[in-house]
Amino acid sequence: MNIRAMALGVLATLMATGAAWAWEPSEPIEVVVHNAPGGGNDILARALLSIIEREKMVPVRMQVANRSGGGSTTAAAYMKEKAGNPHVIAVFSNLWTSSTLLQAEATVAPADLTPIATLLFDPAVVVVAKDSPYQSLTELLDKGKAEPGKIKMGGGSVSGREYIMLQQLKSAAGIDWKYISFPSGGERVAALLGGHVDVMIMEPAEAAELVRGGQIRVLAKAGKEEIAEFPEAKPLSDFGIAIELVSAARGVAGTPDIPAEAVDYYADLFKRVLETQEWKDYAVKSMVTTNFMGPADSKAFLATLTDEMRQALKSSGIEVVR
Amino acid sequence: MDTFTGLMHGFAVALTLKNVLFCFIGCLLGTVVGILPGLGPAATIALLLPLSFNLDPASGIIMLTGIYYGAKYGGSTTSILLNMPGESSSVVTCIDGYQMAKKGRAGAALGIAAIASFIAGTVGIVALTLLAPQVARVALSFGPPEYCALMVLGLSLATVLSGPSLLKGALALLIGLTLAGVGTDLFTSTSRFTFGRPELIAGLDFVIIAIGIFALAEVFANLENRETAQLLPIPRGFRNLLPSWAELRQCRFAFLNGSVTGFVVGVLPGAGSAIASFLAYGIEKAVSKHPEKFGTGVPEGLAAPEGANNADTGGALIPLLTLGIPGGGTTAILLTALIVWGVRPGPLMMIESPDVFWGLVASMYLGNVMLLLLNLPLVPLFSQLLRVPGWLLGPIIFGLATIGAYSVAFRTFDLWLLLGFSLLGFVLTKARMPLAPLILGFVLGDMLERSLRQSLMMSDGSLWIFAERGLTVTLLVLAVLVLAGSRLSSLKRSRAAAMTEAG
Amino acid sequence: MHTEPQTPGSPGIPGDFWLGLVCALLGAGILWKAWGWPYYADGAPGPGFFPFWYGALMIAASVMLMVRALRHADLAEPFGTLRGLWRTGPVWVFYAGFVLLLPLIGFLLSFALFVFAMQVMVYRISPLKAAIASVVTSGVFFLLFDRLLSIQLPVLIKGVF
Repeated sequence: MNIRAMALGVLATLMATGAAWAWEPSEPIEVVVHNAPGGGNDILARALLSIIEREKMVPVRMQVANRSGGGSTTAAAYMKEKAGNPHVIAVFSNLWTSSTLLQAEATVAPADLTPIATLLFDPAVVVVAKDSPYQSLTELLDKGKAEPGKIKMGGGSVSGREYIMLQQLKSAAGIDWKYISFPSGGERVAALLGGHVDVMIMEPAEAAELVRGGQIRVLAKAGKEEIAEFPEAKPLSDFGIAIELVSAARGVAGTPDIPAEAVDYYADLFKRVLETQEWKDYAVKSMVTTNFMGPADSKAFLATLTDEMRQALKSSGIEVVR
Repeated sequence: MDTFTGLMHGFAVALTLKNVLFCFIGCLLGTVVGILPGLGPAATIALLLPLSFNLDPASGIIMLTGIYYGAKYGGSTTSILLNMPGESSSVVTCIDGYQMAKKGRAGAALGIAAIASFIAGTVGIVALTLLAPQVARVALSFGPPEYCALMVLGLSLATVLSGPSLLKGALALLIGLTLAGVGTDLFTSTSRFTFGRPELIAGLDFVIIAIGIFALAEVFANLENRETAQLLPIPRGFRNLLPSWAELRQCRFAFLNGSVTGFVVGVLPGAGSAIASFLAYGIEKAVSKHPEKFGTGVPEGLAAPEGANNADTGGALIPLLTLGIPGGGTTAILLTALIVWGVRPGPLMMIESPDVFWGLVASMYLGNVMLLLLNLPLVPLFSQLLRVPGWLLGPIIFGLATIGAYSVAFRTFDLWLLLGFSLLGFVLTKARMPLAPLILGFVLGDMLERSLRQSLMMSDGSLWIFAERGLTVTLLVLAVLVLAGSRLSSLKRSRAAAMTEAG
Repeated sequence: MHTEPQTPGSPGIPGDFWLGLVCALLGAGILWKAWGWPYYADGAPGPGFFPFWYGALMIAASVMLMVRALRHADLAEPFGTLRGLWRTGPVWVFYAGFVLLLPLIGFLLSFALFVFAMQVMVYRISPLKAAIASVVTSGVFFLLFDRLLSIQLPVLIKGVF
């Protein structure tokens, strides 16, 4: 064998072992979600895991760990408990951030953990009931400015994205819709269809079926991204709203104080997951907008998000604890 | 296709061997789940979801729905035998059901529960079959003011439930209402009565309160009596194993009451089956000729709430299937299941997926029959459960209570809560406070506060919103009538008592 | 309701009075907490509204109860006796002990200990019989709920019990 081949062989071996030095999981991985089985992040986590499993992307088992209770507080507290353990990660959403702003007991925010990646944004559309007297967004916006509190918007609790968006609209464009909270999706939709509230901001996945059944109409979309299900929906900027409303993002975070190589490993893992065809199909079916951000960008995003939320909540008179 | 054709088509789907089997499995699982505390139909369905994806949509949804209404049958068993609600909707069954069991009529109680469940469950499905779209429309017209009026009606029934002392009943009610407020305020995210504990942010869980106040407090009370080796008298003789014809006749109105009340309340998104059972119980007591006997083991006091929590299933499926709106936790998971299967609940479901829609409806008729046939013969078997000697049964009850409480959120904090509530129940019983208004307050408190605040937000602070809406006014008038009626009858009774004393 | 022996007739302040007092204090506590939350928010009742009224009404009803107890002492329902407390008290303590031990030694062991203590101390079962019964009962519960139904209970040794 000539020297060259040997050298190449040695080099190759070195590279292989060098790659083996980077971090790899050695025990089963827990993926913590704050919902009970069947809830939003739970479904997302299971979808991610099924892709990872099918493509055999990790050498160990991954399992969803449901830690529901107090919104995201139980799950976040659990993550803090497991500090330093690189085999526990969590799927977080905006609620994890808003909880820390609103609840004194919610002490752990995604930023306190180790943000690994942001995976997707949930788009939002503005909808009205089919037989609503308001058929154009302009009308609703104008009424919102001219008659404060006349237009009623239904949504979840004040920790939800829709409320923050409404406050941003109020601060930036003077649109004063009255916000009425309903605890469950079913009640919200029933209120809209029954004419008890005038308008709602919904996720396309929720809205799609109702549109198909002819019960609601989409007036506009809240972001700039293309929503495949509603291609004709116009962005808010078309209606004179210049600001960017807060995004509902979902991502993955690790426990505090884990090694940088572990973070890189996971970030790389999820980046590859998002590139698979299965993920693309899932994203289309669930009507979410894939948007990968690595650890550093995620951290920055979370910081901005926290500020935006804090600002919006404060300006609406809600007591912010942090 | 019209209703009749649709239903025939549905039976064709439901009566295939495969679907009959899945219906049976669902009902059986549901019954077991309902009996065992700690596993609710929602959690079970969620657990089985991944497994059921291999089935075709019709079979899968038939099985999952079987679990849903099967659990309502099973939930009454531990309520009657152990004063432990297996499921939140079974708590009202404890009130008269357990008392019947204490009188040695456990078998009859179980039988009445099964029969009431069957009748009301079937009525619920018939109503679903015939009236779904119309009922859905009416359900939508229920907005916050109407919900509020409904809650006020529920509260007025508390006077009916208070027993001899209205003041004590009012205090119990207020305690229950306050307990409902523990947690995070929906509208402002303010933490109320959480004492800094993160475990209380989401509020108190109904199951823990109910098990603590009813089941455990009862065990403690039983422990006091040294003489009782047996917790409950075993029904002796065949006659005590099943309800008598006289008792069934007594329950005629209760069956109707349970069916209608359960169905109507079930249709309203967000109004849980506990509310339905309480309303049915309250109505039954309010129209009864012997209201003072309620709470001592009256068959109709058992039949009405048991029926209501079964008819509620049929009602809850209407907004889910016709509009795609889930009414509560369990229907929300059913919705997820349907979506994953590619079936889209909504106005188009009947047209696009008639197999699933009508197959499901038809299988519910079948399921109710199956459950009756399954539960009735089990009555003598379950009654034998009471043979277990007290020194074993007591610890078993503690064990069941513990598992039930622990499985809510898998933390020991809830066990401390359980202990605390059992102490509360014990103390309140000693102090001769009625417990039913407390639970009623807890069940209604959330929605009462929420709907009132929502209504006033809608009306910009004006109370006139309650007077402007026909449905609201009707319900409020009913509430006033109930209050007036119960005051009158209690005045009559005390006058009669005074006269007999004097004379 | 139980037909149990009543508190031996004690001339003096009837039980309802004390009940009223406790409830009045509770109501006062609720009212005090409610004071810290906004009564009105944005034209509609705020988080303090309902607790305020619950507290206020509770105080009112309690006072009426206390007054009625003092005025019509003969009409009041006597309270249940506390004579049986020596049997129930220990069980309460045992259960508290069980909850304390649960996260430490797992369900199987702590529940068995609880059952054993309860049976020997309260039901007066022979220790041998109680030992067997408690282990069997705890074992059945554990197998049924943790293994069969996958309700994960605390364990001492992961994957075993």
